[in-house]
Amino acid sequence: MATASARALRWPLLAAVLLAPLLLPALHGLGGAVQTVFTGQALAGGGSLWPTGRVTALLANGLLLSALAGLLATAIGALYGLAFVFSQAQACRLCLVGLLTTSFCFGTVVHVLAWRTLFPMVSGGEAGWAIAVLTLALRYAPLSAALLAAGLATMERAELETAVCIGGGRALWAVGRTRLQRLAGMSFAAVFALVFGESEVPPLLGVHVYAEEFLSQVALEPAANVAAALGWPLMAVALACAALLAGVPRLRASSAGTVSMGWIGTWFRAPAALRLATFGSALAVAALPLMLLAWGSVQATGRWPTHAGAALVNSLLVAGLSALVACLWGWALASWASRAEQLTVTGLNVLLWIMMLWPSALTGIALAGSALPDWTFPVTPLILAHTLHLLPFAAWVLLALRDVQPRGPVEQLKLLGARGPTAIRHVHLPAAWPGLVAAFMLCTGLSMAELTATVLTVPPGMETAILRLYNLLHYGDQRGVMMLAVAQGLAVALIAAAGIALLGKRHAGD
Amino acid sequence: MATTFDVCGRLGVALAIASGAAIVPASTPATTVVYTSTDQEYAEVVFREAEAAIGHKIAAVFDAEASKTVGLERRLVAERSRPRADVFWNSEMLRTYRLSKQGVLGSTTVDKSLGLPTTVITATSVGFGLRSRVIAVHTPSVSELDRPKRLLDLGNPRFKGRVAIARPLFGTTSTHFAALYAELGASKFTEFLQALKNNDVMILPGNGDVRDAVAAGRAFVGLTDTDDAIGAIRRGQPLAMIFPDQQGMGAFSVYMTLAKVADGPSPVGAQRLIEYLASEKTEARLIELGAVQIPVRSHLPMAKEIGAVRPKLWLMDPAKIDASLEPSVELIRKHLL
Repeated sequence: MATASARALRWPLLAAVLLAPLLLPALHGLGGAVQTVFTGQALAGGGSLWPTGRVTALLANGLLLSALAGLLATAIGALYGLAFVFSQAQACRLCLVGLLTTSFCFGTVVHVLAWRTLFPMVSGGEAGWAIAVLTLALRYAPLSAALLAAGLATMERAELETAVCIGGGRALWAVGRTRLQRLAGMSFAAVFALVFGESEVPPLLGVHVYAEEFLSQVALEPAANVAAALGWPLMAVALACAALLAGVPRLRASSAGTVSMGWIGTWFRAPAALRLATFGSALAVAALPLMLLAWGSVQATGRWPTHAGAALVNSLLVAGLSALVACLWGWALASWASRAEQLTVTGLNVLLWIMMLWPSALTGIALAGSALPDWTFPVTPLILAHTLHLLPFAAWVLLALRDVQPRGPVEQLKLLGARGPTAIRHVHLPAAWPGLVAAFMLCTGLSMAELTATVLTVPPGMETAILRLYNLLHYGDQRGVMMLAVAQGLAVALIAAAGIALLGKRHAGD
Repeated sequence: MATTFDVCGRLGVALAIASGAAIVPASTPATTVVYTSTDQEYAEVVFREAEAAIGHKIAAVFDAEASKTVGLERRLVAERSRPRADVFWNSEMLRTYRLSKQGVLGSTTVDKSLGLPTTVITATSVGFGLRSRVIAVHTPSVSELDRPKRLLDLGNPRFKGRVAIARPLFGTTSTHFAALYAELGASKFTEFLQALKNNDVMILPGNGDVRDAVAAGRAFVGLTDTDDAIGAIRRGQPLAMIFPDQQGMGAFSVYMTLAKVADGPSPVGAQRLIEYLASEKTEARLIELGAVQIPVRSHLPMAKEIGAVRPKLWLMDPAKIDASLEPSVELIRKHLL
């Protein structure tokens, strides 16, 4: 009995150890913030914990911008999802996923730079709002698409087939509607939370928001923990959205099912013109940022930035290594979650959402100040910062895809006595392989776009592509920025394409 | 019994810790680590030349303007208990002063033969290389006659909706506004802020964004730094720069600062690098590259875009600016933002 209890406790304890680098600074930051609230400590420069008229207006702007971007991103995400369902050819899907991964991995400022080539004179007013909403929606639409796709992929095929047999399309819609509505809500919440934390893009287009005010206070306060108190609206939004999103990916198929998106595409025989129009428009929208940047870099004058190639290689190495660690930890968490109670899985999801929405600046500050042992390498804090940033994405992909794998063979091999490393090599690794490849390519791309924690933890003498890109941006070398962004995008697209090809090969082999 | 959780978790931890083996940058005892907010395009050239001159390898960390609130200043504070940097080369002086107050910087001295004026030397830093705050003008939109001459002209209604400034809570714009508060007093400073507000001023994230807005014609005039303005002029963008208030207090200017990080790992290398960077040769080189425009040594030539006549500059003690920072921010929040 005692052994069973100890065994049950082992997993949460190990998870806590894994997440300690994030949780400890988070608790420290929260502690400082709470202390500021209760001691009534005055904030620098007349900052106020409670919204004044001006701050209320900034909050309202931030909420409205987030809501509009959330709605539009969900709509665009649905377009991508439809295009994926309609396109039967593997090459088309490969192309779309590659472009979406690339688009998602461009930072928001790079998206603005791309749009500036079309709208160079927009500086504010309604046009500024419109471009801000469009830019942010396009930046986050791939996330919406991924949420919608994960939700659809885990619908039970048997249930869908039964619905079609009984009542055709109408019954199918009745079965799917609730889940689709829920997924759309989740997509909206995820984009809402992420856009609410955006501080750089809105003011570039004349839209002033609360996140900008928060960063100003961080600049003024000598202690970051005190400034963190002013971040309570960001935390409130993050927690509210995390609560809404806690069900993702509560997507376990209770019976053995295969990915149902392909089935939906096969069953729903849309007219060829509709398929073509949907796929074409999705492809055009997904490719637009990359195309605009490529066009901009051809139009402008300038040269390929010096050492940018080395910076790109460094980025790929850091990204690859961080993604590998994140995938291993994500796999560990997914493996634990698959045996845990639903309540525990919900708790894990809340934690992962908080991790995703947690400002990476605070993680970077904590890791920069951490006393890692001397035998660690100078690059270890950078890898850890990136890994913590990527872990939620890796864990979700692995959780979602693990749950749609047929469980029969795994259980049978376990019954036959496959244990330990042998079981991992012959049972678990093959089962998790698609998830690992998908998570790895997503994480590699995301890692290459991470800036704030990188500035705080990059070892002296090392340069990454994102640091180079932002320095060129400040220097005013727009062509250099565009060329480097395109090169980074192509590298990410290649990784995505290689990942999908690898999955396709394996699928064919199966 | 090993499970996937055990194996993957442990493997992940091991990989994260040992990851440096693959991509660790070469670091030797003869490496001097410098953190700098000077633009990488300029600093890299100087570092390459410095390595040959001082016989130390230089490993740099560059700031990124997008991370302005949590960049190198925060990193130096976070690393205070275990410093990794030897030298902090800041492109202005206020943040250096604030770091010095927090005990992050150590004693910094340079040889008198370097010829630096005493006004830019403190116990923890030495200054060199001036940059000024200038008004950038979009030349196709504003004729020479209509160009602003004073900072207060930014509140002139003829530029309504076409004036750009960087958010005055970050970077050199916050330093400039704090100095204005100290110089003008609360009442006149408030009037200036209200005039900007009434003129629908565009408040952009950084000085580079102001330069880009003016160069593209989204704004007709904008307040930025000389290095940003000259960079655009050298690239052939339609932009001119004006040193404001030449009949009055002069153009507010900031200077670069060099400081030794307290208890940094390589104090000898730090001293050599600081003396190299503070030398006349480096100041002239930085002017040639475009990182600074006006030398603190009056006999050195200025950037050619400025011309032969040295503009009237306005410098202020960083301690005085620091004391004005918070009250100026209160008024900025109340009357401008």
